[in-house]
Amino acid sequence: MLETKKSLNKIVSDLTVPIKSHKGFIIWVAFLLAVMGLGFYAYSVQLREGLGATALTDYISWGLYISSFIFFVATALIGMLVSAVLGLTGIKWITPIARIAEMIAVGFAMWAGLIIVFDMGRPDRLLNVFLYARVQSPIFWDVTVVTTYIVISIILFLLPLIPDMVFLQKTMKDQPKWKQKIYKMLSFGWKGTPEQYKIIKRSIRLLSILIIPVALAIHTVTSWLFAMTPRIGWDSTIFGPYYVAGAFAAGAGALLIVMFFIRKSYNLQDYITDFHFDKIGKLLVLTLLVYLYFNINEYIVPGYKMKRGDDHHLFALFAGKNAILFWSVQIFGMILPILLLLWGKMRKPVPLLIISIAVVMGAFMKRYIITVPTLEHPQLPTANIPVDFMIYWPNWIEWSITSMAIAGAVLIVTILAKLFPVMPIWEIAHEEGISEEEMNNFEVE
Amino acid sequence: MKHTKKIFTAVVIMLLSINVFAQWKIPAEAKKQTAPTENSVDAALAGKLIYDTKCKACHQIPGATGMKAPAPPDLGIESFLNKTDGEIFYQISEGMGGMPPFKSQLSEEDRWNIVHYLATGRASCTVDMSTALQNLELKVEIIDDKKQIKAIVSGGNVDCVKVGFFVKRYFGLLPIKVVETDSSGMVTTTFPNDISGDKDGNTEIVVKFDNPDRHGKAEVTKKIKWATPVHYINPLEKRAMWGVGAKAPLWILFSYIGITFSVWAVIIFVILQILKLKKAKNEVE
Repeated sequence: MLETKKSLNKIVSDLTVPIKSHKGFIIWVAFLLAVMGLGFYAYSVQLREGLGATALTDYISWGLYISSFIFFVATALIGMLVSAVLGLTGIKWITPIARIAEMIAVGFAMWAGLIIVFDMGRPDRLLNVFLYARVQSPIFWDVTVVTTYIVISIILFLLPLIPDMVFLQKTMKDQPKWKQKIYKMLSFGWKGTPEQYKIIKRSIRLLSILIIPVALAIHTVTSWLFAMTPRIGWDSTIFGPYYVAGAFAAGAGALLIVMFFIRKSYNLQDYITDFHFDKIGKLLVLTLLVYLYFNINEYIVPGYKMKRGDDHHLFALFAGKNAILFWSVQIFGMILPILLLLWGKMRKPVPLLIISIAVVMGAFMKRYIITVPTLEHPQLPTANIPVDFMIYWPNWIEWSITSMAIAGAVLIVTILAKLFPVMPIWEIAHEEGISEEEMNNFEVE
Repeated sequence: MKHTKKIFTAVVIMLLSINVFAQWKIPAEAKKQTAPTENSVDAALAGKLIYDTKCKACHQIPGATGMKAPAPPDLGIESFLNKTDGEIFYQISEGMGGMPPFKSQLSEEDRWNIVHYLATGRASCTVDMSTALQNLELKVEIIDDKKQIKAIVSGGNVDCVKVGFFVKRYFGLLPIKVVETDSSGMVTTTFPNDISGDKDGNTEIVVKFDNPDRHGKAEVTKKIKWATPVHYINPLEKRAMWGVGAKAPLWILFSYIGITFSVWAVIIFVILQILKLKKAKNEVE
């Protein structure tokens, strides 16, 4: 993939120099922190006043937070798709982007866990989920898999870092002490012995296999939070794969966005090439096509039968009060990207960036379309309900806190990309034909 | 809206005033009519339940006020108690002035039951409105071998005290019987054999009278053990999806533990492998 052979020194310096440069970094982090600051203030209001401070009601009790939660879990799934599914099939071109995918997985999975806490009126009772755990409850399964996925993602992020730590220790001598300490600690005494390589490779392989069922579980269980109830619009047997398919599309979109900006700001055009964009673009259109297939199933099966209740729900989506949002999401977030991405010209970095932003925004709003309209149709016959119980639109507190979550996840990706090389140096060097012995004897020129 | 209310009030006052001056014209045959059903305690109790929902709002508890006018009058006054069964039945059926006819709303049996209920005051008790409030006392005796409950009212003029027997249920009191005392102040009732209790047949009965104007209030609760035993199977006691955590179905419990344990075993194994890296370094050196 990399046209000309690169020397180890060039690879190390290409990947470590951007870490040291702080051009624009401070402004970017300041911006993210400002967004998070607003969200933090909003959360302090919500903590003081309870969920009454939000636009949520006892009818529409799942709103923007839960929609965001699904979106975050969905986005986090890309780590598994790239580093495990593609990695285990022996695809070599994922080497430069696998770590980026893993960073997204770590950042978004962590904030997914936090968003659940934001949706609690009494977060001080969080421990009760465990103290009074019911193993029958999908919520308890969800807590379990989210935690497990976060742990596996972190380990799977750290494992391929271990051999890189030696390079960092040697090149980062001018960096602050705390950074050097982190590098030393995370190197776990790496010397590059055959035994160590064996352990690392075996562990990565083991976790790559393990993360596939766990990642499928995390999003299937998330879908079960909905599908295990008999509610109209959620009562669907394909919700698990439907969510997973959507998650891969959202994740591939997010990966393309992050790839674009990292490549640009870190000058990694030699490593993340148009070839990679083309490939991930193809992956995106594939996942979108699968997602389209599930969408057709999800809507045409109840839509053909039009059972009582389903008719109201589907009418609201297709032609009623949710129609504008629904069709925007379906057209701009799925159908149009599919049509465009079938052309090779559209799978170049800039068009892909624009399409990916549309896909990711569509993915976000799609979760909203799944969550809220169902709650707008109560299960039991109702009478004399205040009109505002039936209408929901998130207020500034919810938007601020959700923005804080998005900024927080992006901040984690930013910090990880600033602390560690965005690609595994040793694996890239390995692909360049550089021997393990040469890597062990690496000295800064 | 304001106008509607005013007009409504005016109409009601008009109807009421018509009633005061109106005379009940009751055909002679109707006066002679007698009840097709026997005046049993059950019939009177059924009548009381209907009276409480249909009549009480206007007529109050019979004997509570003793008011003859303005209409609607107290149905415990002497002039009313002197009426025949047939007369009262006719009045309930046909209505008059402000009182609507009930023949279309209530079945004939229901209407006779109301007559029976009102007659419980008529037949045995003459309401003496001159009696001032006397706080009577209530004692309850349980006669186990006969499954009977005996209420003893004492402490003054104990004639005509309406005593109610009830069974305690989850959401209130189930009436068994309402009986008026005679001059001895004693009433006895037999416990019905179709009342369910707990698995050993235990339940609680409540005996009370409540007439704040004449007799005061008293209530006694007693435990009895002759209710029909009911072996209630609590669906929460077996392992089920809807149970508490400790009552989870075994298949889901084992699946959860099995899967979680296996996954975490691999994770811990990998963590141990990472910690072994340092050892692997030393071996070479």
